[in-house]
Amino acid sequence: MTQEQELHRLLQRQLRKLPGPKGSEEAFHSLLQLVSDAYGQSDLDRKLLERSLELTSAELTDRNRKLKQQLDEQHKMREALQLSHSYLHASLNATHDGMLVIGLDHTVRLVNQVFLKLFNFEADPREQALESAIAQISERLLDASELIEAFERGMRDVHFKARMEVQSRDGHYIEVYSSQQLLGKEVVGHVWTFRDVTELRISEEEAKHRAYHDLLTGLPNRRLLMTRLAHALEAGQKKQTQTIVLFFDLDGFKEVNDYLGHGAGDAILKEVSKRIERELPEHTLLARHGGDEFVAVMEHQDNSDAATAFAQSVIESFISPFLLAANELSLSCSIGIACAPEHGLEADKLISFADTAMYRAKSLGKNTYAVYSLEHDSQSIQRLKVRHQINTALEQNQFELFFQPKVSLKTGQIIGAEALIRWRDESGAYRNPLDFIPIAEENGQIIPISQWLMRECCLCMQRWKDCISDDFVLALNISARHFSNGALVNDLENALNATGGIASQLEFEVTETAVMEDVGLAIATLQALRERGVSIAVDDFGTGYSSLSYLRKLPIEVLKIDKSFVDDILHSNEDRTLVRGIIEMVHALGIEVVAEGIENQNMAQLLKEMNCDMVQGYYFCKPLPEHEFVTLMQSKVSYPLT
Amino acid sequence: MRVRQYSYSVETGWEHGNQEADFHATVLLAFYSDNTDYPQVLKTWHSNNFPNVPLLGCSTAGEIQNIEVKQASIVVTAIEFSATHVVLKSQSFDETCEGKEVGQSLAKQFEHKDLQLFFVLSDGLNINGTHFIEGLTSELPENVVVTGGMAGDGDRFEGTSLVVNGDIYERSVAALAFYGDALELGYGSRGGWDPFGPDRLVTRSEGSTLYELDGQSALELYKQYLGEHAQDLPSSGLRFPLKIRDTKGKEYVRTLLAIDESQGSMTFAGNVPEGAYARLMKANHDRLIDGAIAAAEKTQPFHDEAPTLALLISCVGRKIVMEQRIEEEVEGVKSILGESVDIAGFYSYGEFCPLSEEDSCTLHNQTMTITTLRERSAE
Repeated sequence: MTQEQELHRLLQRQLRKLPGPKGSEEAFHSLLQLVSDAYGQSDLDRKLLERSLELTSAELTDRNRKLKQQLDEQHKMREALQLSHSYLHASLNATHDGMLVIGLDHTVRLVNQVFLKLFNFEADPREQALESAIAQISERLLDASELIEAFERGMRDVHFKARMEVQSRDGHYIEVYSSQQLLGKEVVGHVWTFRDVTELRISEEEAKHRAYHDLLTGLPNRRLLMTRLAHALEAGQKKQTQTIVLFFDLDGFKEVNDYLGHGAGDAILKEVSKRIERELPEHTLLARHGGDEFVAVMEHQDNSDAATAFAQSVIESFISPFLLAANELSLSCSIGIACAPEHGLEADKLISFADTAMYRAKSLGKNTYAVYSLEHDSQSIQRLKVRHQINTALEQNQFELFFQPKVSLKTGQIIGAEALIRWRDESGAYRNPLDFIPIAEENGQIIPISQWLMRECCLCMQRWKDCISDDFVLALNISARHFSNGALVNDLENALNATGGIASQLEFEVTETAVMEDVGLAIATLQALRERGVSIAVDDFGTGYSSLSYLRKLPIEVLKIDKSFVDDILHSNEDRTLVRGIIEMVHALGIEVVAEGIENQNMAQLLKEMNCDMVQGYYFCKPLPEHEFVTLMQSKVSYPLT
Repeated sequence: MRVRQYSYSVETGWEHGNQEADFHATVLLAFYSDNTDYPQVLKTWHSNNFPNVPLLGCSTAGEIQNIEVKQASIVVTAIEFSATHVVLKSQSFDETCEGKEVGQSLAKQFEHKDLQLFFVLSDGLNINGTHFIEGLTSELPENVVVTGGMAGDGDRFEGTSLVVNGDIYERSVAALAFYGDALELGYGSRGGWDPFGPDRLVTRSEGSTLYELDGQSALELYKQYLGEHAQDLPSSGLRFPLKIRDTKGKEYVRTLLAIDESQGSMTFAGNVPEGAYARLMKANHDRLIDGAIAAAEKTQPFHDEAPTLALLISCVGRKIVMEQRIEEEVEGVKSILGESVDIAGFYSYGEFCPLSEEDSCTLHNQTMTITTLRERSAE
């Protein structure tokens, strides 16, 4: 028994189950079979187990390798992510805009440093409730209601986009806009951007101010004056009240500029504007009209009493001398007054009337005022006015040059041009040369104009050197007064010296009349000019003496037949014969001929047949401003003549 | 409550224990294997000896009688109840039937009032056991305990049968319903298999048919592990059941029933859902025995006194790996339940039992599943 108890449990069972009598042969064989089966079973179990172990360990090793690989990849991804996060972080804090990201779960997800600074956040808003972050933002704003509403809408509507401008309590302008934060195509939050646009707003306002104000005195400029005056006139008409314009002009201010320089002039102008402003009655606008001119507009007046009193007080305010770098300077001012509706209802006319009245005051001995009346509007007053305006034009560079090409009838090419003076006044309108050239001739202002013209032509030739041929000549008109005042050659010299100009590129057009005034002097002057290298053309030939015998004595290269002879050559046999005769005779003297006023192809054709050398006229080209003329020259245009 | 057992084999013929004249069987349970004549033998015996007593039997992969595991025998267990009422019904099905519907139809045949235990035997090869039990429990009251198992066919996996009274069925399910307060019942189910190797994701499956694990052929994996024994598939595949952890975290064991070389698929006794994780399991004889003992221990708290009868349904997979040592698990159960208990049972292709009192019945594989019965004396 003891022995059996120590046997393996399985063997015990095998023994128990043996068939036949114990110890029999049958039992023995059966036992052997059972034991053998058990060994076989055990072997099989072990083999399977070993196989499983081997396979599993191989599988686990493989998985381990893959996991390590994945881990490595994850490490790399994480590093890339960290890098990209740091880029994001750096860009976020490098921007000048404040950024706030609110998630759809109504929490603050992201902010940058600019945002925190802009709204004085001390604690991280990501650790606060959204409501308290919004409260903190609101606290910093003058009126946060629109922004709060936008925040609320953004929370309700994922597609909402806001754009507005708010003002902070410390005077900053902040532009706010929101956009959606997308993850793929899904909206996951809103990005709110806060941009401080204070500087932009200020510079915008400054630009606006500059456009309507005079930089020197800070007073409204002419532009604003015209708008305000138009408004005032309209209001006055409705209320049946007078609108009064006062035009102030300093007496002798040109001398201040000329002798003391523009810096001194500017200082005086500033002081003048202050003195006038001190006397300014209620409802009165003071503007700088230009140069030394100021204009005041008084609204809602019943009569001109207040205006004359104002004018008188301004005149009196000039009694005390102006201090300029410890020097005392006495100045006075002349004032013209015009009233609406009595004198007119249009702003520019009213100013012009006040201006006229101001010249009346000047003609009365200056340092006084005058109220406009129709009889003041005499020629002499007008001439005074133009004369004054020409000074302003010279000072403020209001003269311009236009250029009309001269076309060779041999080649059809542009071989020269005539420079023509144009005056664009303060209002931007071109003034008729006939309205000012005679006045300038008369009072000698033509001399500085002519000097300017010579300088300007020299400069033009230098500017154009890349687009003109070597023999291109620019013609300019020399007035009779300049021609005869004895300083022309000297002035030419000065112009050439000042600009580095070349005399041979210039052609002086002198009228027949100017030459004939004093032929002796004329010949000497022309000779001197020739020697200096300038070519000479006689302009408007045929309108004066048309003396061919004198022509023979003059050292001239070109003769310009007046337009009046050319106009009718297609129809008048007489004119045709005359022009043909002139051309032939002039050619005989070795002088080239230019015909002006060519208006069609037939005229050009005919003049070509007559052997005319050059033509100018609208058929080829009207006078052009410089930039257009340069474009024309660059195009190397050639006109067909047949 | 009293129990008498009868056994038959071709060699020995019918063997009867002590015949008591006052023994009146209420119901008969029969298990048989390895002989296609047995259902007929059983039928004849039944009509000769207990013509009016309901008989429920099925083919098996081995019969359990007391502590003995038999093969190629018929074991009949007759139970006499004093107060418990028993009803037997069956439900046949064809290839077009869904397991769930079959379960529902069977449950609907019974009166549910006072129902205590629903002991089910089902076809072992032609029904999805998971779906069958789902259908069944969906129709039964929650407090009814459902236990039972799927019929077996040795280690052949070819065809199973049920005997219900005088009828023999090939595609059928049947149940014994036990009614009345007098019945005291316990149950327990444990496996004892050891999972090994890596977790494998079920990447392709349909119901109980598995195609791929981790994107690789599951059948190839089994062949690799079985080596030369791959030729004995599907039975050799029972050496490596699968431990499934589904997407809800629920864990269960699945055992192989069939393979299809042309499809490269393996059919298990219950669902192997996609997205679940599977691990191979291996047998350790001692732990399988410990599992059986644990199942027996699970039944104990249900009883004040030792149970009269224990119905043991154990998986064919256990028998295949334990071979000569298989009886040790039955001995283990007996050592817990006590000398007085009568033991009947069989080796199955699937076991039905709730995992705990909170759970409803589910299908298990590779377990020892025990249902214990005792009738309280009528005082």
